[in-house]
Amino acid sequence: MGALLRVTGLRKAYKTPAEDLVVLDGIDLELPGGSSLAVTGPSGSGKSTLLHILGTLDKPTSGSVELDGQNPFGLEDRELASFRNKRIGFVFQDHHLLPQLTALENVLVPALVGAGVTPEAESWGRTLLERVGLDQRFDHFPAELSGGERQRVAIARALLNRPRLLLCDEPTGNLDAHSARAVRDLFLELHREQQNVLVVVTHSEELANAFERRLALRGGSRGGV
Amino acid sequence: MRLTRGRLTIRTLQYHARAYALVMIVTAVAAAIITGALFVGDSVRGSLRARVEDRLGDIEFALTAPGYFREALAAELQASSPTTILRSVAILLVKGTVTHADTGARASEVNVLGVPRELWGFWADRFTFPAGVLDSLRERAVVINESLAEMVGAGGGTAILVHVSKDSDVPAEHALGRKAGTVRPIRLEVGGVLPDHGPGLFALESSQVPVRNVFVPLETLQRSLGREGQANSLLVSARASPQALQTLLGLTWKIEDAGLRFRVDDAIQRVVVESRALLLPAGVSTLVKMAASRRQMGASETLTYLANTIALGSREIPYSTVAACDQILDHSLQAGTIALNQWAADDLGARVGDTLRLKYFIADDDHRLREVEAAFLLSEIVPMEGDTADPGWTPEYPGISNARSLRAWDPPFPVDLDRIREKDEDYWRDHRTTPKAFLPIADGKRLWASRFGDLTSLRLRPLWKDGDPVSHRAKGLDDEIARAIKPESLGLTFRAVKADGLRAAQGGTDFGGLFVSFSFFLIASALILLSMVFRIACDRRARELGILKAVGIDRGALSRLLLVDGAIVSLTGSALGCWLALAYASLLLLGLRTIWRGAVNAPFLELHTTWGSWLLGCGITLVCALGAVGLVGRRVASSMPRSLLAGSIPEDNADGSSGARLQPPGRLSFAIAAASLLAGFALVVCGALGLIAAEAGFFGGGAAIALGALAFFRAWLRAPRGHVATRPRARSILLLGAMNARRSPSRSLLTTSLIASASFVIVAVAAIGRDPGSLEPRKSSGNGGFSLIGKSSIPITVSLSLPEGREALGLGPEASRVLERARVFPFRVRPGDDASCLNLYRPQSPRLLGAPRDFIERGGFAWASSLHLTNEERANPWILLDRRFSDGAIPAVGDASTVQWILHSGLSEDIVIRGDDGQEIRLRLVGLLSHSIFQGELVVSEARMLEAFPRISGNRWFLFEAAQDDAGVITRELESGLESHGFDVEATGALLAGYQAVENTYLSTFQLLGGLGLLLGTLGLAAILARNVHERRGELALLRAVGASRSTLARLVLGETALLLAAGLACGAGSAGLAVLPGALSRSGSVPWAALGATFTAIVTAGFLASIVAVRAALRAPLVPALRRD
Repeated sequence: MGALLRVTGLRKAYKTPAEDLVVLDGIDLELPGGSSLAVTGPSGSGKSTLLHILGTLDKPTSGSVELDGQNPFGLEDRELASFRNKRIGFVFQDHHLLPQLTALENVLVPALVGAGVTPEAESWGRTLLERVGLDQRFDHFPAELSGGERQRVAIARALLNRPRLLLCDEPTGNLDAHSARAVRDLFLELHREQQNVLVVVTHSEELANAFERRLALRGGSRGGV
Repeated sequence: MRLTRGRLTIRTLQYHARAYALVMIVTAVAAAIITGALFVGDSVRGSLRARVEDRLGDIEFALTAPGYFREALAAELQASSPTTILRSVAILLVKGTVTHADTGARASEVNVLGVPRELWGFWADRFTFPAGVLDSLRERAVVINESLAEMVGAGGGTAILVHVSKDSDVPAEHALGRKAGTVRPIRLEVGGVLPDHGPGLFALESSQVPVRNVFVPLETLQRSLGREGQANSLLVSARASPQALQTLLGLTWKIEDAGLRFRVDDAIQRVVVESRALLLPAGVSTLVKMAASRRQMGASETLTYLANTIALGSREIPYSTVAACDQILDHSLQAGTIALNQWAADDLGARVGDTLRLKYFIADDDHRLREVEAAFLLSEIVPMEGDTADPGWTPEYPGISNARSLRAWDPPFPVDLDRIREKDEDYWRDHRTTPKAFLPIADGKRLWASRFGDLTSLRLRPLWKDGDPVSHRAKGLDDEIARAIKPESLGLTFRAVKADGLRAAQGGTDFGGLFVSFSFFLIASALILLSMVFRIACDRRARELGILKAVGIDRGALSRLLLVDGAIVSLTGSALGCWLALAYASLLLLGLRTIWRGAVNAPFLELHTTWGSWLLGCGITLVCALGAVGLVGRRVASSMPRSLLAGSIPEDNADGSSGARLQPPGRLSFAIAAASLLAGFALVVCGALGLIAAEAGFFGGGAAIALGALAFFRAWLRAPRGHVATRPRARSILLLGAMNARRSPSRSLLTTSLIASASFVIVAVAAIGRDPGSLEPRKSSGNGGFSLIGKSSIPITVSLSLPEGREALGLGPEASRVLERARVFPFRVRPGDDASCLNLYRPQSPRLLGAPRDFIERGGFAWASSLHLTNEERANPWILLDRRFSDGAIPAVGDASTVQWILHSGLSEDIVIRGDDGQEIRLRLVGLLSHSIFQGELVVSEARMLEAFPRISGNRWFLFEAAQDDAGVITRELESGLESHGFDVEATGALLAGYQAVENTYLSTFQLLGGLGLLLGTLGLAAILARNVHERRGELALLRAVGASRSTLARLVLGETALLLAAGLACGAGSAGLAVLPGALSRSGSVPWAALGATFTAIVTAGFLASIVAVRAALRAPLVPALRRD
């Protein structure tokens, strides 16, 4: 099976008055559809940077990223935004829900910024919220939800447009053990159902062990997959 | 309800209401300032319009004749078209002086109005007359207005003297005109006082300066002036155009209204048409001849004059009339010959062929009478019968025609009574004014024609004898002649005074635009503050915006989303602000009525608004706010999602990389900054040395220095940071604080630039204020070397420079002594609108001064520019007033400021006015003076003025070139000696100070509002500090956690404040101070150092107070959440 996600010679460096600070140095990666990858490493090893670049939230200094055979960094801003909207889903450690919208409305935000919220999108959003166990929470605002419930809303939001690539940055980092396990089981289950590529950055060995593959980063370089 | 972008916007605004409320408030402030300034313009215009309506009531048209017409003309005019003419009232309107009979307190330039009761009908629906005031107007009791009452200290029952000139119809400047002794006091009692509005303010000219009016019963004033049954002004309310009224007037008026007399003498079969003004107006004779020819009548031209002497050898006949005519006894005389009547021939023993001498007076330019002589060959001796025995050859002349004897004459020229013989008295008794001699008309015109005319009468006779009396043939001829003459050709022209006044109320100065420009820094500060608070609101939403980008919103869509948010808030703020604008405008108007009164002198200003200003103010605010919001939104939308998700909007780098910077400034940046500084200093030095214009040196140099300093500051903000930790502790904390300004270079530079530019302008404006009161008379300055200006309410037709003139005016020896030493330059005045900055109304027809020849030749004054072509013209541009243009335009000189800002014209452009006959007259600007005493008028040459306006008699404006020691004496002597003429003397320095007060008031207004802008800018500084503290809350919490004291944190924040304030003030005020130093040293007493010091102390204090607020906020923030967050 061809790689859905292909990363070649990825490098990210920041300019400082002294010398360039290299955060990622020559990362290569190929992941077929339906695969899952845990990215581990000590603090400052470039895990989040790698995730952000894969999600086109940041640009590499050199190297390439291809998703579905397309290099997103060659696209114009509008095309890149559309690419991100349709093909990539994010779950962050800090859920980043919009505080002024309800749980259902937060799930529907990717549709809002895309083609608009259609009845089908709304129906799918409700299904996703039911799927993550929040069928009683459609009209609740984030301030009325627990940490775990907010994270589940974020997961449902990330999956609304059935993304080809699902990226999670410390998704259970702010949760207690029980909630963390529940969230872990949830998105693994949804990943299997949707057969996307799942990449998770985590410090948790328990969570990392649940994934097919592991990429350990040390000082910006891969330690092994 | 489905989620839409609109719903997201509404929810966002609701959730972040507090943050957006601040945006709305700041937008409201900006809207209040902009719209409020526009409302000031509306208010000035509206108040001026209201004043026009107030002072004119229902009067829409007015006619002020150069002479007098029948009072009954008003009623006849209304009767001719009662549906068109609603009200028509004839009044007497003359200028005069009023003095308190007991205290001697005086008011000049008083409108003395002889009015019938019908006049008050014009205000019947608009004004409630104080009880009893109108009834108090009776034979010897008058009504005055409040301004006049205050000026002379009069009230009900006060005795006053009203001085008016009892002019004769004969022009004063004609040789036979009465030049002095015409001013008569009329003793009257004040019956009542009208307030200074409504009819109390009645005036036909547009000015906001309160007029002084005295209302006299019409009959009383008619009697005093010897004008029974006459008036000189018509006031009309009509549904018609001025042209239609003019046509009605021409169809209604009678020959007497044209100042003409029509006499029919069946005995000698003659009809005589003559003028009350002695000479027939130009153009009338042609019309009379045409009317006569239609009746088969011939017309003979006649010019009758008074000869002091007819002499043959040693024999003389004194004081005889001589008639020049084109026909005598049905034949013409040859040129150079004279015919005597039998009586004269017998008295002189003259025979045909003898050479006779005529001696007569002419008037020269100094208003002096000069006796000249002409010789003629006696060609004929005519019998005294029929036509040649007709005293009607000589027009009626008051004081002469009706005298019982020669010795009883009251002539306007000196008569030697010793020369009068018994036989002369016999002749007078038997033949009155019958001419003793006759000349050819061409010779008469050559000797005696003047600008006032060249004929005294037309003698009409039937072309053939048919036995009918001439009265039959001439029946209705007078009306036919009246209808043929256009009233406007004789100066009887209706003006649409109401429409003209309302048009003038648009104002010469756009106060709306003026106050918008005064408020520039206030507006700029508000807009900068707006972008700052909007940015703060966006900062709070950084993570939200990050997630929107993460889920795929593109830059443009996010930018639009933020713009919509900002637009809704701005629209609400603009709408709210437009209401606040009423308060701001009211405050500004209060300022204009009080502390800035010098600029407008209009205590009657009231708030007026127009829909146009509402919409424009809202619109401008919205556009500016959207611009500010849009710029912030674009920057935010361009940020990388990653940095937004991290909770901050990067300052300088689109890639959001924290800690990294743009390229540090290279050598080129420093080089440009240095070059700007050097150029600035060079310009200042050149300006100080006079190599370039001072203003260019100052503003250009100062601005270049300020820009260079700011460029250096910018470079420093962007330079790599040095190490501060190794420095002594105290300095390190302050330095650390100062270094924080470099975290966000563009933010710091924006605040510093605003403080710099505002303080630059405040210092600059304070330094360029002028103080002309201290200027000594200097020929090359705005005062032209003249120390005094004299103005007379009543024209003076004798020369102040000549002993006989001073004697005729009754001036004492002290006056003569000082005036003998001084040089006096008398100017003609053609009344018009004050064109100076003291008049808020737009001048429709500027006042004109006619400069005498010796003034033009003298030269002097400071010139801004002129159309000189030769070296002589460059040396003395006044001689350009003699230039002749092929299109007939009259050269004129004006003050540059007046021409540019009030008349909206320029050098070589034309200003069009109407002549007395309604014809267009073009005044072409050939020279512009700089800050001169002529800011209220335009100057033409006296000769050209008399060509265009021949009826102007006498001088009303005088310049005195006198020693400083004599100035006080001249003032005292002329103001007391010519009190009846309403003569006022003012120092040229005081006049210029009055004009400069307007400019200085505008400058102080600009300073005050600029200072407010600066103050608002310090609020921006506070906003920056608050934001900076918020951004660094974790850092500050950490410092507290490791033991930093409160005072340490305070020094940290104050360090940044001090740097930004100091940088701004140094760049702005410092550069301005350097630039004005040369000029300020030369007039150190007049730069308001105290006010400047107070302004900047207030700014610095406000800045530090803002810092204290930020520090307290930092110290109050809970420690743990701030640490945990980061």
